[in-house]
Order: sequence, then structure tokens, then C-alpha cells
Amino acid sequence: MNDAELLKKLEDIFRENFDDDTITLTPATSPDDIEEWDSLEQINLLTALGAEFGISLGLADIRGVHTVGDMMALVRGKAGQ
Amino acid sequence: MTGGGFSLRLAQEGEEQAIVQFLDAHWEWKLPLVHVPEFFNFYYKPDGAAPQFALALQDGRICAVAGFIRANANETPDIWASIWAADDAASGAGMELMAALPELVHARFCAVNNIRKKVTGLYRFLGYEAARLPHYYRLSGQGSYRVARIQAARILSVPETGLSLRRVPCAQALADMFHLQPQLRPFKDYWYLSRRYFSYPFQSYDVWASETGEHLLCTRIVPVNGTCVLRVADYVGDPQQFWLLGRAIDAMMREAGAEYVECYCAGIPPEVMEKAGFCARGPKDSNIIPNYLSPPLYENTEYYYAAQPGETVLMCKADGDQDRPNIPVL
Repeated sequence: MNDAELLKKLEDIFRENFDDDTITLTPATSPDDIEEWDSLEQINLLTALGAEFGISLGLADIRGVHTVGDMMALVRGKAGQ
Repeated sequence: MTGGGFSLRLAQEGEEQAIVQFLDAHWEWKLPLVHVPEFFNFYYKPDGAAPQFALALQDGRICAVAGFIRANANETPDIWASIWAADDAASGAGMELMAALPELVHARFCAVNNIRKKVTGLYRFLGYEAARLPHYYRLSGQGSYRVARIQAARILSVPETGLSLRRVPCAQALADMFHLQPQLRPFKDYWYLSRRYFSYPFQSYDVWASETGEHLLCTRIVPVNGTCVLRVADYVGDPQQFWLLGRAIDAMMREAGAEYVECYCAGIPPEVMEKAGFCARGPKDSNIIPNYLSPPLYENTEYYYAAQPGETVLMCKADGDQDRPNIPVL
């Protein structure tokens, strides 16, 4: 899966989670860009991400995940294990 | 202890004010649990020493707090997490603290009562099981109701079990009348049961033990609209045996003149509740069994809870910091 495809999948997850089809993501997108994206939603997003990609995430995995780009790196890193 | 770049520790004696100030700054409203001294001392300072809070700090500054309540006086207690708040600017502080809470307290088991549905995901991420707290009720069968809003009345039969309930007159009588149930999670000991149901501020309970001493029931009669409601606040006993109390609870309801008895409880199988004469109130139920009674709010209320996995988890309405009067803080 290339970066564009991965980003599209993340975008679908974000749109579903926030119930907002207008959300558009770039790797730089962060909580500063989406008002409802707080620590609670961060966990919900990561949980959905784990389910989508079949990866198990723990607290140590999510430290340092601040942007969509960090999420993409997390998926690539876990999927590669 | 550290986690995610935060220093994690239990609060020390004298830090109450700092905790309250943090909560005032990071909670939507002033919390009665910390601003009403009787609540604060009852829940978070049962032995009068350090407040039962865990803290996440960074550069000496509090970034998150988590209050906890003990279900027993053991050195490795079972606990309920209570107030949980974090500074949004300190990313991850709240999660790191909640993840560390059981270890900081040396808790054997941790659960939390009455959480918002949207927060259940956080607890699941930390390995908890989270679910809706089932709500059950039994109507008196009277022609009309002043509190409940009934579209379809269903009165279940209750088997005669011959098992009666005896009132526990005082905390000192508990040990003679009730055998503790160490198989349950959380495990409630005499210390907890005595305090919670015989020394609770602002509100009193009726405490009942079965004649075998294997079952404890804690109830409140709530007057409302010229009638009353019987509320089951806690059950301590084998979940599979709750049905044995059904006939006695029905008699209690009729003696009180209550129009219904209701019970929020997870851990008792629905079929056992039904055998005890209780109907399950579904999330979209056409029958309204109000939770808020003073003053009455004529709508169903959903509660959620989370608990670490355990063999016999039993969560009832009065667990944690719940089933308390609404005392506004000005």
C-alpha cells in the first residue's frame, strides 16, 4: 500500500470517527486542525486504526503520535513486524 | 514511577488544595466530590492521611489527577477509579496516569462506575472491559404510576424460595449476620460495608442480610411525587443466587408502598434477574424508569462502567462514587 492509499484509509477512519465527510488529511494534519480531536478521540482513532490494519497497539506505541504522519509511520512500523 | 515523560506518583498529605485547584481549572464545573468536605473526606481520605489521588507531573507541575476509592482495607486493595482529569496541553498525561494507577496503588483489581459512553474506548484501550450497566425494575402492579411512565406493564412471577431477609441494625452487627464474599471483584470487606452503608454522609441506607448470611442487600426508599421508589443500591453475594431474594424484595416493595423497585447491576445474568422478578429496561425502552428522583426527571438514564477482567465482577449502583445526593457547589 503506497502512502496515498494509506492516507485515504486514514481519512476514511477520521471521517467515520468524527462523522464529517469534509475532513481532508495530509501527513501534517494534527489536533490543531480538527477541533474535536482531543486525547479521547486520539484513542478512538488509534483503536479504529488498529482494527482496520489488524495491528495491536499499546500505550508505548502511541506515545509520540501527534500527527497523521505519525499514524502512518505507526501503521507501517507495526505492519512490518 | 515514570511514563511517557511524566512523573507518576500518589498524592501526599497536604496536596489536597493543589488537586482541587487543578480540577477547578480542568473540569467543566466545580465538582461536589472535592468541594463538599463530607464527600472529599469520605471518599478520598478514609484514614485521614494523604488524599487518595494519583498525580502525573512534568517539571513539578500537575498534568493529570486520578482519584480512587478503596473497596477494602487490604494492602493490595480492590479499587474504583473516580475523578480523572488531565491538562489537554500535556498530551498523554491522562492515559499514562490511568494506566499506572493500579500499580501505584498496589491494587489487585480496578474498576470504574458511571463513565460516559464515549470514554469506554479509553478504558478498553487500557485492557479494561467496558459496557453498559444494565438497568432492571419490578413494578408493583398498581393501576397507575406517578413516577414511572409505563407503556407496557409486565409483572413477572417470583418463586417462593423461603429465603427471608433480616435487617442489619448497625455496622457492629454486620460480621455476625453476613459472611464476606471474597470471590467477588471488587471484594468488599466489613470496613467498606460499614462505612458505605452505615456512615455515609447525607444519605442513609437499609441493609439486609439473608438468613443464611450469604447475601447482603443495601436499599434506599426514595420519596417522590407523594409515593416512593425502592432502590437497590448494592448486592453482595453469589450473582447466580440473586433470584433467591426476589420474593423478599417484592415484599419489601409492597411494605414500603413503593410503586416500583429498580436496580442497576452488572454481573448478575439477565435470566437470574428475571427469575428474581425484575424486567430488563432496554436502552430504547418505551417504559420510563427514572433514575433522577429529587426532583424527578422522567427519562431513562444510561450508565456505563469499566472493569479489569475478572472471574466474578459485580458492579452495582452504589459502587465507586455513585448513588449520592446532588449537592450543588456555588
